[in-house]
Formats: sequence, structure tokens, C-alpha cells
Amino acid sequence: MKKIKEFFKKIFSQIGKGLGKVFRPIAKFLKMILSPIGKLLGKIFAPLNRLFGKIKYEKRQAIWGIVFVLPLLIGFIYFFLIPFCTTIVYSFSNVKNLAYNDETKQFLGVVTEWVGFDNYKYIWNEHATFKQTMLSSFGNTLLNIPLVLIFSLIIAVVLNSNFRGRAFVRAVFFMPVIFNSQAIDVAMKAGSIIGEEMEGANQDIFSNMFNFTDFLTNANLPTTAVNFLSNASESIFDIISYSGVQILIFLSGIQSVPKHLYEAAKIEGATQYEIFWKITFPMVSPLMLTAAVYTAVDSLLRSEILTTINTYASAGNVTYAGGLGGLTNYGIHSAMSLMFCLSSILIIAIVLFLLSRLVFYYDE
Amino acid sequence: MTNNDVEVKVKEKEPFRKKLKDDWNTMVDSWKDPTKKKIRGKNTLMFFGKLIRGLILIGLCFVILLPIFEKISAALRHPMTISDPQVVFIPSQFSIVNFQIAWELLGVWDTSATSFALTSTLLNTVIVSTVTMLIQIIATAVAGYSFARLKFKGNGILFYAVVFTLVVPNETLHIARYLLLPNTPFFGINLVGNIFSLYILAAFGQGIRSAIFIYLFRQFFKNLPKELEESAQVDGAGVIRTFWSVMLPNARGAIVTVGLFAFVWQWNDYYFANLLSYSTSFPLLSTKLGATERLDTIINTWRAAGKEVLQGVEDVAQDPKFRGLIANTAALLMMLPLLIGYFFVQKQFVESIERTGIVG
Repeated sequence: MKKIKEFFKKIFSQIGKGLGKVFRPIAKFLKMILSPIGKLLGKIFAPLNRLFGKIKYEKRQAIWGIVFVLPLLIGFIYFFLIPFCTTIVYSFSNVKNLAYNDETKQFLGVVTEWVGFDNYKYIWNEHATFKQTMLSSFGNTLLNIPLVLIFSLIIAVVLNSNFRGRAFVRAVFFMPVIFNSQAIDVAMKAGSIIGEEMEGANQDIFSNMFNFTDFLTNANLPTTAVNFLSNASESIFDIISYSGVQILIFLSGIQSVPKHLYEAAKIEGATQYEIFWKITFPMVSPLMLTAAVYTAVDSLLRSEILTTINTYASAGNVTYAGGLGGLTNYGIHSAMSLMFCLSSILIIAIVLFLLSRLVFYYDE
Repeated sequence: MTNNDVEVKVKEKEPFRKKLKDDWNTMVDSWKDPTKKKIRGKNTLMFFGKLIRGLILIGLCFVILLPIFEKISAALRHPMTISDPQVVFIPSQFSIVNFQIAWELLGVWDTSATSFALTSTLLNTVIVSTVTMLIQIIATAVAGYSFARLKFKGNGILFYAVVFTLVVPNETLHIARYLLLPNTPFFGINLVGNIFSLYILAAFGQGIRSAIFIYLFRQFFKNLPKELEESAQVDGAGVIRTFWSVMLPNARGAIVTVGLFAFVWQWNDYYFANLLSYSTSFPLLSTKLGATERLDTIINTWRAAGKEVLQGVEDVAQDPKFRGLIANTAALLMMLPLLIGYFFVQKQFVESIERTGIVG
């Protein structure tokens, strides 16, 4: 293993050297060209700069802040705000496909016809499954947040300690982060047919060997507890795959805790348990907010309600590839997704409000 | 004689008994000794803690790795033996046919085309991921710094608007964007079918999940001590200089995290590449992954070339199981470079996080 590592290191360092040899002359050349230009620009802008220097530092900061944010603002307006407003308009209207060229897969436009709150009334009163799915998705999200937070904090603490094979375990735990993508999901879903078949073959062996629910009911636990525990154990893979990023966030937080705190605690004779609750947890707690927001957003964006919403985006499964084939009920789709956005904001606000009481800031 | 002998034996035995008793007493003493008791208790606790930790870690690793192993074992099967019920893990007939077909499906190294750079999806994906990663780091760091430290009017509102974009799923805006992008060019640039559109979007802070990166950078810059900035200001550094030479070098941990995620998410991205129709102008691995309908032509060309691997079954390309198998294998192939790369970056990645603890 070490030899392989060294071999790769050698190769990479050789590549690095080669790249350096290629790029250094280019960089030198660029510097040669750019430095006179820079000097010239400096001379031209010198009076302006002097003028700028006379402005108060806070004002200069404000100006630069706006300059820094400007590209983001432009992109936000073009790529988010305009489509979002269009979607709001769609949600209040009956959207009809204007023309769709099947050969060139060109989508020419839509006609909108104002209907007021009809779409919202429909999804709230008449739609068969929307309400239930939405409630269950949000319930799942609320369940996921504490589970994922606790799990990822524990794992981060464990991964931070020293033990044999740490590098390997770390690599394994972040694998779901790498595997986590829509394209992969689609491909894996296609492959799940084989998985089901394999499971069907294995079912007799595995399910009889260890049936968790039976075991719990035999232990005379109340049925709600059994359901909760069996759900939690079934979703353990989900929880792991949800919590890769959060583990990273906590890991970086733990590692930036000042070392002198730990040293002082050790001299005073604190146990590991006390060190965790009195030092690590409070110091990491500001990151709880970040992790909670990320968890909420992530699990909302993966919840089953999105499939319900997407069935209205188009008739066939052409939401992404191949344009917008048979566009149906886009008004209802827009109304549903807006409802989804609003309620997710509500949930995130509640979570943030609850968690902000736990947070401890070291500096202040 | 005999009496003497017994006496000697007793004499010999007595010190032995005494020794045993002494040993026993010292053992009991040390057993009852409070400090030693504490140490012992600590050691057993440590041992059980380590045991439990090891068991939990092994179990979780097993849970993570099992589906991946299942997929690898499925990918290594010969396509003719997909539905063999007797196979659990180890394929009855090993073959790399699936990998060969998936390789062609992804177009990893398409040698048939004339221009090389535009047809090797692997190379394309590497280029796109690297460049967008660099652009995303710069764009989101600048925006995050501005939100964290530079106070101007509308600072808070804009930040919350950016956070709001996180909650809105891409599907929601899909049709509105689909209509907007080709019809209203962005500063005269038509983003659809343009090779540079991903870079442009990243530069304007609208890349893949840029909002999360902006949030991360803001939190990070907020946590850096104010004294750093103030001392730079006292020394006469302007805003840009403070940002570039003082704050940014201290944000190495955030930069590495953002860079890793930007790279991985761009590599896996599917939505943006399809929205901007990269599949025709600049094919990427992820856009080829979903296109299983190309299987027919691939298998026909295989047959025309006279390869005998899939002979016997006429319409194997129509079989949903076979398609699933190939999609599965292709996904594994697509992940492979990321996994290999991750094993090398991992150490550097964690170290760079450790180094950022400037507070202590």
C-alpha cells in the first residue's frame, strides 16, 4: 500500500513539475505584458484613487461591498427572480402550450389565462394526495433534522479522534456525498430492477435471520415505539447519506476549537464526556444552525412531494431531457411548488428559532 | 528420616505460603487502592468505548459499502446471467462486457470522431468541473465576504434572498427558465448551446448550489477575528488588499471545502447541463449517462464488428433488466475518477481544515 502511494506521489510530483515548467514561462510572459499596463492604469487612475482614498473607510467598504455583490445581484435577477416571478404569474393562471415543434424540439411559448386562486383551491380542496404527501414529507423532514444532527455530530467527534484506519473510515463516510446526485439516482433507479431481483433471492436468508420489528414486538414495547424504532433503523442508510456534508461541517468546526481549552480541561482532570458537553458542544453549536438549514433544505428537496409536483410539469418524463413534450397543467404545478417553497421557509424559520436558543457564541 | 523430611517440606512450604499470602494481600491492597481503582475504571471504560466505537464504525461502514458492493458484483456479471437466482454476491460468470458497453455509452474515449477534445466526455467533464470550481470559489468568496464584513444598504435583504434560492427546487423554475433563456439573451449572449454558459452562470453567482457556498463563506468570514481586519486597515490596506492578502489566505478551509463540493456537484450535475443543452455542443459524462436509448446502436455496431459476446439473444437492448444493468455500470464508471481522486485529496483536505484554526 505504501509503495503504491509513493509511486503515485512520484507520478503526481513529476506531473506537477512538468506543469510548472510549462506554466512558469507563460506566467512570466503575462507578467511582462501586464505589469506596464498595470502601471499605466495606475497612473491614469491615480487622481481618482487619491480622491477615493479621501472617502471614509466605512463608506469605501460600502462601495466595495456593492461592487462585490453586483455580479451576484445581476445573476440573481436574471436567473432566479425573473423566472420566479413568471412562475408566480403562472400559478394564478391556466397555462396552455402555444406551440411545440416535435422535430426540432423547440418550445415556442405558452399562453396564460388569468384564473385567480382556482389552482390553489384545486390543490388544497380537490387534489387526492397533495395534502397528505405534503404533511408526511414535512413530518419526515422534521424527524430527519434532529436525527441527522445528532448522528453527524457523534460521527464527527468519533472521526476526529485518533484510531487505526481513520483515513479509510473517513473516506467511506464521505462516499455518499460523492454518490449523491440526480443523474446517479436516475441511473441507479434503473438498476434497481436487478437489485430487487437479488433481494428476492436473498430475502429468505436475511429477513428470517434478523427481523427487527418482530424482535421489538416480542420485547413488549408499545407499537408506536416499535414503529418509530423500526423506521429509524430502516432509514439508517438514508440518514448516513443525508449527513455527509453535515459531518464535514462539524468536523471543521471541532478542529477549529482552540486547543488551549482542551489542554486546560485535561489539566483540571475533566473526563471525555465532560469535555464533550462543556467544550466541544458549545463551541460547535453555531454550526448547528448551518447544519440544520442544510439538512432541512436537502431533505425537503429529496422528499416525495417533489415527485407529486413533477407529475404535473409534463405528461411524459421529460422534465429535463428532451424539452417539454406534452405540457399539462403547468399552472397547478406552479401553484404546488410555490406552496412547497412557502411552507419550507416556514419550517426552516421554526427550526432556526428553536435552535438559536441552543447556540453559544465564544467571542461575544 | 521420614520425620525430618516432612519438617523440611513444611519449612519449605511455609515461606511459600507466606509469599502467596503476601502476594494476595498486595493484590487486594492494590485492588482497593482508590487511585488505582480510578485508573482501572478509566481503562476498562476506554476499552469498552473503543470496542463500541469500533463496532459502530464497522457496522456503519458495512451499511454504506453493501449497496456499492452489490452494484459492483452486478456490474461484473455476464449480461446473460442477470436473472440467475442462485447468484448472491460472487458472479457465476465474470465478464467485463458491461463495462465495455458502458464505456461506449458514456463516450469516455470516443476514438471514431475526428476532433478529440469535443468527443472525450471524460476530458470535457474534467475541464468543465475544474474551471467552474475555480470560478465558483472566487465568485462565492467575494460575495460571502461582502455579506459578512462590508456593510451596505440592502446587505441583509439580498443575503436572505440568496438563502431563499436554496429552498426553491430547480424543477419549479424549469419551464420559466426554459422560456427565458433562449428568448432573452444575457448581455447579448445566448446561454443555450453555448460552451461557456456554465462558466458565465458560475461567475454571476448562479452556479450549482452557489447559495450554499456563499452561506458557508459568510459564516466563515464572520467567525474570523475582527482584529485581523482592523490591523490591516491600520497598516493602510484598502478593502481589496485586506480581502485578498489577509482574509482569503485565512479562509483556506472554506476554500477547500467549497472547491471539493463545487467540483463533485459539477461532475454529477445533470440539470444545468441539460437546461443549457450541453449534450449536443459539449457532451459531458452526466448527459450521456441518461441516454440509454443509444444502447441499440451501440450493440448493433458491436454485432456488425463481429464480436460474439452478446450473440444468442436478439433484442437484448430492449430488455429493461439489461438497460438497468448498463445504467448501473455506467454510473459506477462515472464515479470511479471521483473516488480515486478523493482518496488522494482526502488527507490534504482534512489537514487544510485543521490548519485554519487561527483562533487558538
